[in-house]
Amino acid sequence: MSEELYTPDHSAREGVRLEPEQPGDRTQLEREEPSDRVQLERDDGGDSVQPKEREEPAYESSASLRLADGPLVGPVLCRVVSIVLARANCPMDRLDDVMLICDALSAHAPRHAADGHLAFAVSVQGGQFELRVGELAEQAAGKLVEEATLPEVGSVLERMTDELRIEPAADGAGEELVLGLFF
Amino acid sequence: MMTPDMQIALPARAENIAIVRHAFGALEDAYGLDAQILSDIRLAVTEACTNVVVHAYPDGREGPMEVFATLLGEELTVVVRDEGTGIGPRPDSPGLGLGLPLIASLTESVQLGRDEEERTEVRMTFSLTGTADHYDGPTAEAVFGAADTPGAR
Repeated sequence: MSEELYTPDHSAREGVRLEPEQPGDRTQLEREEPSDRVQLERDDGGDSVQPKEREEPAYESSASLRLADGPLVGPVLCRVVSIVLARANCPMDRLDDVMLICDALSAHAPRHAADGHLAFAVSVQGGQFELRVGELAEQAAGKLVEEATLPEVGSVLERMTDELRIEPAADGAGEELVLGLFF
Repeated sequence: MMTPDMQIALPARAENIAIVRHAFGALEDAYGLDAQILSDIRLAVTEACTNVVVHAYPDGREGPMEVFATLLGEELTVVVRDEGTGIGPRPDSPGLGLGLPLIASLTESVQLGRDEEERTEVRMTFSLTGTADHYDGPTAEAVFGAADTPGAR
């Protein structure tokens, strides 16, 4: 190779000078004193340099569903809830719990629908998930919780959730079952 | 008017288009819908929802996006509704203006309009017995006007 290729201007790395001493000599690599390195300055009184943490806003998402009490309830509910939770970085074990809840709801809730339809309100805020099951008939929410049981497990809805409550429907007709989970 | 079998209401944000698309996959689980027909349905619904997100609420405004699906016999009707600015030519459109012609080619019929509360609606009808190859309705140009209307939703 030609010597010109080894002039300092062609050095690919800063801080390393490629300089031939005499024609015919081998190229020597000399390390320069670092002159333009990035200096990390300590804060006054601080013992170590801490990069500033970027504060991410808490993830928020919501979706409302209204489904006929037929074969669509389970597939649609599970799909919508799973994609909302996956996007919120919900851990797999909690996602698994929620899928079990959705299966239980889709198996038992349709027969408690007040008028042939069920309403679901899904919301995630930070690490909190809430699922509202609406358009249930009077006294139906409690029955739904009781019916959704597994042998030696008990009530799936009570066991898998961190919060469970029954509220009167916003329009005054029927009840809403509110399920909350933290992850 | 028939009560829809499925209603989905979401904020009109890009990430929520995927939720609608994913939800429509449930039609295969629930009714064993043909994969090709379902693919056409999902593509058309995705296009309609994309139009809502991109065009309905300009200037960073946020508004609702609602999707209704009604199954009646061998026919599925899907309505995508928003409370935005309405459908019309948009010279500053960021898109190619191909969304509605694509929807027209994938559906048995498509209607654009407003409901009784002046909300914008795209009403699509799909046949569940055949694919869009059997489409014999009006052409996209007949429905939406000349192809040189840039940015038409």
